[in-house]
Amino acid sequence: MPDVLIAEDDPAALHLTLKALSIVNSRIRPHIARNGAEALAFLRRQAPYTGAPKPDLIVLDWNLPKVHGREVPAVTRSTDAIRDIPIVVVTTSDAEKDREEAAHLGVNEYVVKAPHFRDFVASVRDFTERYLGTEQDEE
Amino acid sequence: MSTTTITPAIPGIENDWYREIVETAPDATVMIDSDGRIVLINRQTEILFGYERKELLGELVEVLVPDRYRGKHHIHRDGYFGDPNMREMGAGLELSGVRKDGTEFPVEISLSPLRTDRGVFATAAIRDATARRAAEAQFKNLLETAPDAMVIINRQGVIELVNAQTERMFGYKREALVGRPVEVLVPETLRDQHLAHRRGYFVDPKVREMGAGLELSGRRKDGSEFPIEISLSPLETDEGRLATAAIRDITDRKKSQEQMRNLLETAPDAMIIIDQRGTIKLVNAQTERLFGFPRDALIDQPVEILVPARLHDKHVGHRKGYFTDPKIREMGAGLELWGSRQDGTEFPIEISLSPLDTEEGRFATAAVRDITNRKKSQEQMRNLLETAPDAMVIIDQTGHITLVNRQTERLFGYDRDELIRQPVEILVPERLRDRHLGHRTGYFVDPKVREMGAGLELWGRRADGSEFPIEISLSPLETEEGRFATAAVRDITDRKKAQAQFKNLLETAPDAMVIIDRNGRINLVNQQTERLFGYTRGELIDQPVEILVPENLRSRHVGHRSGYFDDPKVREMGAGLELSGRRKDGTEFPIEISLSPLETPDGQFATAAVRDITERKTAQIKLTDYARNLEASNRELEEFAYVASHDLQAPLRNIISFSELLHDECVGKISEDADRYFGFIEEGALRLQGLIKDILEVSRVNRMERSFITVDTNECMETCRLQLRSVLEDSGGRIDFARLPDVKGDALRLTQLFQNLLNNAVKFQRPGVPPLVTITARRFGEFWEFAIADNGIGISADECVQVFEIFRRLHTADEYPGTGIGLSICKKIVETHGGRIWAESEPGKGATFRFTLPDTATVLAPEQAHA
Repeated sequence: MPDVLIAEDDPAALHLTLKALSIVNSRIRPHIARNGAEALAFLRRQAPYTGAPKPDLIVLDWNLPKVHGREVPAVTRSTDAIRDIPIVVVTTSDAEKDREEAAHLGVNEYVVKAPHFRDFVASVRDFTERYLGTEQDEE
Repeated sequence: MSTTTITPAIPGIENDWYREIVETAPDATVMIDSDGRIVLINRQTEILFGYERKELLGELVEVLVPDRYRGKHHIHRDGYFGDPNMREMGAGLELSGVRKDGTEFPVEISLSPLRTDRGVFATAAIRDATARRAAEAQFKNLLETAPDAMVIINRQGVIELVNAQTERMFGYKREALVGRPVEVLVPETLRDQHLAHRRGYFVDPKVREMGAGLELSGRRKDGSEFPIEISLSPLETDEGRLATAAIRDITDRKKSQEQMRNLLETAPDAMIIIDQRGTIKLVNAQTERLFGFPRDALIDQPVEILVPARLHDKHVGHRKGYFTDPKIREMGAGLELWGSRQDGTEFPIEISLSPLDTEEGRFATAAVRDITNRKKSQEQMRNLLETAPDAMVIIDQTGHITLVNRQTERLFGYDRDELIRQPVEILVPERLRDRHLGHRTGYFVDPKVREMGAGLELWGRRADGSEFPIEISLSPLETEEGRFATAAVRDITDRKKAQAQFKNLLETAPDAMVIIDRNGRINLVNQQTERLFGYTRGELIDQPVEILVPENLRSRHVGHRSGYFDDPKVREMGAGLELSGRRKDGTEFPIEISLSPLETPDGQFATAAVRDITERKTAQIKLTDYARNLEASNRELEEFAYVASHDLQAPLRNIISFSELLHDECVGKISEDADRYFGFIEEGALRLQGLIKDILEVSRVNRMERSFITVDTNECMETCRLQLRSVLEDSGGRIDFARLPDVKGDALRLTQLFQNLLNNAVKFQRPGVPPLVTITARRFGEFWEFAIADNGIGISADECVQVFEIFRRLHTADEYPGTGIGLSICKKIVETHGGRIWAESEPGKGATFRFTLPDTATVLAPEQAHA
């Protein structure tokens, strides 16, 4: 049962991501952070996430309120216990500077959210399989 | 021989021979007996006394004696018969005879006795002494009137005769001298010597003139001695050979000679006195020094000893000529003369000559001056003059030209000889001569150096009468020969012309031009300066240039100005200087200045071109504001672009995604219309998404960084061809291109450019016609012109321009899909590369899009790159 931390502030977008994840891998156990601060607290197991698991994958929206998405890879990659967690940025921004910044901070992948849900599911499948393996692998 | 017809019988003399002798005697001869009776006379007696023979024979001889002597005559006669002997004529006796007519006349008588058996007779030879007495009287008179002391001595040295001058000169009475040896007049120490001379003289007597080199002394009665000069001449008389000595007291002459000698010695020049024969009679110490001869080696030598051998003949000629017409000739009267030293070396001299008339005749005095140094310095000066670039004219105090150089000849058109010794006014235009005379005289009163161009406008006059503007600098020249003035004359015709041209040029300059001298004084301004600063020209000339500088900057400006003259170079306008000018009314305004040094014959100047940049300043401020605004709006645009890329797309994605999900949920549960509504929602949302993407693209191209590299356009083309492969395969179209050039640019953007153009070329195709696209490139200067030609639908001429406008679409989305932003992005990309893009087409005949891109070697101007 892979634990996936999903950081996303837009409820609609979060719905689509969760739907896509559930489509590609029903065994995924999603954990939700509604902003950057929550995401960092989760990773640091700070209240109210003291018992939180170490996620197997972080799906990160880039433009997060409170604490910006960029802080997540920055903290993760500089903290030994969580350094190895794959991070996939999933965002509507295809701005070059965001791509570059994300790559620079050690993000594993940068995925632009496709407008067509089908296309989006395809890209989610692609990276979940890459970092979590298939459902069949787990079984 | 004739016999006398009447001959009284002389007692005792039977024969006629005696009678005949008496008749032939030259003198009147009278024979008397011891009683004094005349017994015989000759014809001469008859003639001399005017008697006939018969009237005298038998008469007492006293008939022939004047009355006043007659009474005493018989005493002489008796005395003679008492001791008859030969007595010569004129032995000191003054005798007279009386003629029959009673007239008396001086006679000289010699008596001789004649002893016969009839007793003693006496024969008297009587000569008329009238002529001789007259001659004697004349001689004595002559003697007395002679200027010199005359002393006549006989062979024995006894004084026979002296004149009054002798008495005066020697202090003796005549009587005390006559009959005494002449040595009484000779100093005792010299008497022996004199005796020898005197005897020698009588052996070979001849005329010896005065002053023939004899230094003699006389001795007065009081024993004092004095210098004399003697000329001797022999005097033959009846009484034998005498000697006449003319004696002259030369005390005064000696004294004056002494004085002259002293004078000579103190003369600064070598003084040489020669006589008419050219013999040196006197020299001074300077002569010894100058010629290296000791005095003794010169005296009595021909003066030519001091003249170089090569000039001897000529000199002799000159010398003789001088004595024929002797007059004073001053030094330096144009004669080039040479002296010769004892060692044979020559040296240039100057001679002044003056005749010297003395009692001893005419001499010539020559004052000789060594002018080696002067010659040298003159030579130097002459050389210097010749090397001078200007015409040099040297005049003396009287204003006469003494020296000119070649430049003067050239400049004024005269030969040197035509100028030398002429008044300098020959070089001055006639209208100015009077004034010049005044100036010249004034100059010699207070001569000082006056430099060229000291504000004087002067004119020269050529030999042909033409005039030309000149500039003169004057300097006094002090020499041994007095004060001169040197004038350096420069023809400034060309400069005047150039100045006029320069002034014209200045006036036509668009900027205010201000020329200042080293001291910062304004020398020249143009009309623009007057206009710009509000001053008239007259108010500016000769003012410090700081008059044009704001007051608070003036002191700093002075520093800058002097600094500039220390290292003057061209400084162009707008070299970062923020300057201000000050108008006459005190207002200030921003200016820009370019400076350039101006070298002139009058010195160093600086030219300032002053430009009023008020307008530019205003424009700059506007521009800066504009740029600031632009920057702000660019920032806003960037923000917008970013927002567009995320915040606009996020809700759009939600619309699309949930519309799709909803649609899926509703499949089969909704009407056909409702089903189509989902389609409209999705289509609209997708179009909106495309527009947002395109706008983002445009803003990206705008913000593109200009880091251009060499780009191989063939590679761009290959990328495009690959992307279009499926489209081409579907339509059966083709893209043709030969080898394309390298350009300078951004590879990604250029690929985008080709892509958009090729997309269009393939897209706008006539139905059923396979697209054929040809790409070519040719070079135009530093650019390559690319042409992408298709065989598509084409566009009209108006549309050729419109197509590049943003969101300009010529067709509906049904016909040809697209947002209408592709070509405006192409335009942006091309222009960002410094090129331009345009379309050529006719509807139905395909379209050709042309654009230029810079060659790899092209250096793009910033404005070109940002156009």
